[in-house]
Amino acid sequence: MSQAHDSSKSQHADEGAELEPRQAAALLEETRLRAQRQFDARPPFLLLTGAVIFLLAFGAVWSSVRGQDPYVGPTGWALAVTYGGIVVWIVVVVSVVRRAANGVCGLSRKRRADRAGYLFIILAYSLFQWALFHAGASRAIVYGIFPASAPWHYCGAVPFTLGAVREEGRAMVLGVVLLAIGIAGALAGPVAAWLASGIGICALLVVFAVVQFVKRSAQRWLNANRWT
Amino acid sequence: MPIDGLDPLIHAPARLRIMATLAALSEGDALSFTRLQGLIGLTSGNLITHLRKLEDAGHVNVDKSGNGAASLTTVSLTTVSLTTVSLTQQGLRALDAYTVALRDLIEGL
Repeated sequence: MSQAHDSSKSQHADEGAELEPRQAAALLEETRLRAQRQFDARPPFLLLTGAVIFLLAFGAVWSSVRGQDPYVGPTGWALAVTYGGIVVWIVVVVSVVRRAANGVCGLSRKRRADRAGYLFIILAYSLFQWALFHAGASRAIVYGIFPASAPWHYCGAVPFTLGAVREEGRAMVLGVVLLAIGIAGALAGPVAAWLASGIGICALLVVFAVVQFVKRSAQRWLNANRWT
Repeated sequence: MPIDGLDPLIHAPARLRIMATLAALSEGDALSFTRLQGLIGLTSGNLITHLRKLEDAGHVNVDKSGNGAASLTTVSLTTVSLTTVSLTQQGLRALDAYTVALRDLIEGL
């Protein structure tokens, strides 16, 4: 009954409505822009927040190990800042992605499920670090070069492999950049590895944020000029 | 009153908003009925009516994962939450054609 009532209301509310061309154009663009914002899982503010958090987190560890001779490893407060910052960012990312993905199903959702692979990476990374410690590797390796650079090797392998399988150039480039950050960190040594990783990830996220911002601005400009 | 050159099926506020919202999805994606309803701000009945018209024209694809006749005749919370809507290739082309026609019309004003 209520459906029939709604339907008749719809006929009156919509079919009879006069929609001038300029009104239609404004409605179309407003709706399109609003929907794009609603479905955007990578807004520039999120990427810039991540850039600041990673720089501060890795900078804190670098600050705590700077000047250590012999190398001992990050202090407790520095690790707390690092892991705390990363956990905060992950929580923010998950909430933004969930909001954008709410009610969306299909190809995007299947691809987001791939990201569960990163949890496996964290597990594999932690086990390998434990194995290095167990094998008697130096503190510079176990608490310096490995934790500062190895995560980016692992994280780079995922988008590169998926990008190669799906023939997606952007994912492959992301994988290569992450790998390059990891290699640069490893080559920089146990102390500078933290700074190199922090600057590298910060720069990567800033570039992504700028790209997203430029794309949005270009879209807005196109929309504004579509009707003139 | 229909305006020359504009598809009357799309040239209605609610259906125009439905089409524009679905067009913002990534390729291969569909949107749940409840999220679409939240974004458009129509009642279930209104939205179903407009979606039926668009579906009959082949502009949208409505996929019901509910089972049996009940899902077709009853608008229950469970049923609508299992319904997804996506724009078809034909719908995308129709929206593009509508946009071009609308621009030409505005330029001529």
